[in-house]
Amino acid sequence: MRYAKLAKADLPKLFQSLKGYGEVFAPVEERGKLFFKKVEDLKEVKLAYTRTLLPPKKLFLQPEEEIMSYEGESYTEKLDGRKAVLFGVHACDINGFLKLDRVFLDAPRDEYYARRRENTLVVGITCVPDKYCFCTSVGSGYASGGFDLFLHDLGKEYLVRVGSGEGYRLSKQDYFKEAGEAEVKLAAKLEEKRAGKLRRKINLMGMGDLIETEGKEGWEELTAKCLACGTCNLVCPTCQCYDVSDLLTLEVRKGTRVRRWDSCMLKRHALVAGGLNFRPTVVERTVNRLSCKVGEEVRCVGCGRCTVYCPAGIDFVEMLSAVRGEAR
Amino acid sequence: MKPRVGIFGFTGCAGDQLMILNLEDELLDLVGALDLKSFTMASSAVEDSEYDVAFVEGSITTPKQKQKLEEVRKKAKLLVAIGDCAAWGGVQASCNGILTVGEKMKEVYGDEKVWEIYESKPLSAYVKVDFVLPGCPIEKEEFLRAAASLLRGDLPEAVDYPVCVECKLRENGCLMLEGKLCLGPLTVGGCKARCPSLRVDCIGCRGVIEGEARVKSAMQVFKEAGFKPDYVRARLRMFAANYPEILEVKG
Repeated sequence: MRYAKLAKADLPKLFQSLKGYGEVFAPVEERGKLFFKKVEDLKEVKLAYTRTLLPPKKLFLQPEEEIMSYEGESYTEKLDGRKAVLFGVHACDINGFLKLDRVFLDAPRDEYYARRRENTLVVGITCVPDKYCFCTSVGSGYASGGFDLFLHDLGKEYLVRVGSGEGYRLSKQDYFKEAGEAEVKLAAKLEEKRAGKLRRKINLMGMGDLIETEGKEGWEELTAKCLACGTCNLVCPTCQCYDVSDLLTLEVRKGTRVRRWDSCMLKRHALVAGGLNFRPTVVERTVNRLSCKVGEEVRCVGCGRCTVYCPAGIDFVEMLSAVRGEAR
Repeated sequence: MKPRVGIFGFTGCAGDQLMILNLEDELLDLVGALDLKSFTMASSAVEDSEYDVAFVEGSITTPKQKQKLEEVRKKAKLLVAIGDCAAWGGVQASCNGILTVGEKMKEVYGDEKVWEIYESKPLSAYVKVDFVLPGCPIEKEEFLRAAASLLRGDLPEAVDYPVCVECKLRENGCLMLEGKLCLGPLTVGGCKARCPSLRVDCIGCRGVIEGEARVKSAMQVFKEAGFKPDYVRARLRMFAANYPEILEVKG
């Protein structure tokens, strides 16, 4: 990997170069809400932040998008290959991209996701963890790939890790300086210090089996307050499920096909032809959701969103600790 | 052959029929695609007919209405309930199970038996309902899409997910987490979270998600948030008092 140094005073120069590549989307804070939004100026960007409401995956797999329009037998796909930049992404969310990439970039390739992902530069940045973060327990506290540039805050300057050819081209701009062993060592030390602040831990040893064998009564107690609203899925950086609908016009032969983020906590996710639902209860849906996130493989990146934004105050980490048999 | 359609109204404000008329840009296409046999709100020219689809607004509150509804049902291949009154009994059902019809009539008219009336009930209390377009009032877009599906010969796709879904897709902060009594988690989506997007808590005007709404869980969450049970009950009853789990909620 190539390493470079960028003085904080030169960050506006990098921002200008990124704007030259495409539209820049970055975290902003408006009325106490943090979210990724198109920005024109670095001043709009919240560089030090905890987490955004929706994960930045929303740029690649859009919450709701028209994927094609059709008339009779013919159709036109709506593919978006605009160049864009995601600026200020945290390690957990970048690790979320890597998990989604396996689903949408590996065969069969999802062209809608792929074109946006491949035409978007990802610039990572050091995060500001809070008491809900547990990325270090799920191996997502550090991004080893999945970005073009990653900016590690060293105080007055950034250590810049270069993760792609496009990132390499950018790092050849004259405002970057060379960096090496000393800066990498310092960045690793600071990252470790930051990780040490994460008090939340989750023990996933044998978790898939624990989830599978937890009794119905236990689950009913753990899900008693669940409203089955789908928020946990909708704010998750690694939830990949979507629903597809055809919106007909009165001419009937014409229409548009849209897809929308789905949630496995909702009725329709497991509803099949004939009206059979193979996961009719909240308990079954919860078991499925948790198995998907931390069962056979770890798909959770420890961002804490499902806990922070749950309207019923259900805590993901506490729920799994209870399943293990620790303090319920 | 164009499908024969009738649009009827019972007890309610006629707002759902008005929403159909409010489809100003699409109205000519709509009436062009249908063989409209009866729509008294729009035209006094009514033709006695069988119907491929009958759209029915309003709740049933008198013996005469019940009889008329049964007639419409007999003549219609498909009966679609439009609006909250037809779907759940509407706002006029909000005291069901708390006050009797007689008590209500005495309160308003000073006499318990001015007319013979029923407690406000949805259409499904009396006849088979094939599809429900919920809302107070209905969403124009949803009506158009449903009409298109029916024209193709399909039942429309029902919205069976809560308002929270469309609220999150718009990246709104959760009003419940801000201490507001938002009924989004119990309420049928399809409104694009219009009110929560303006930071106004959902009052449940699109009715409860049948068989899915977690009323007991919500009662617990609202209680922990410090809301008084009679206030929560009144909010829940406004648009879905006839839903069994809501009817049972104690104030």
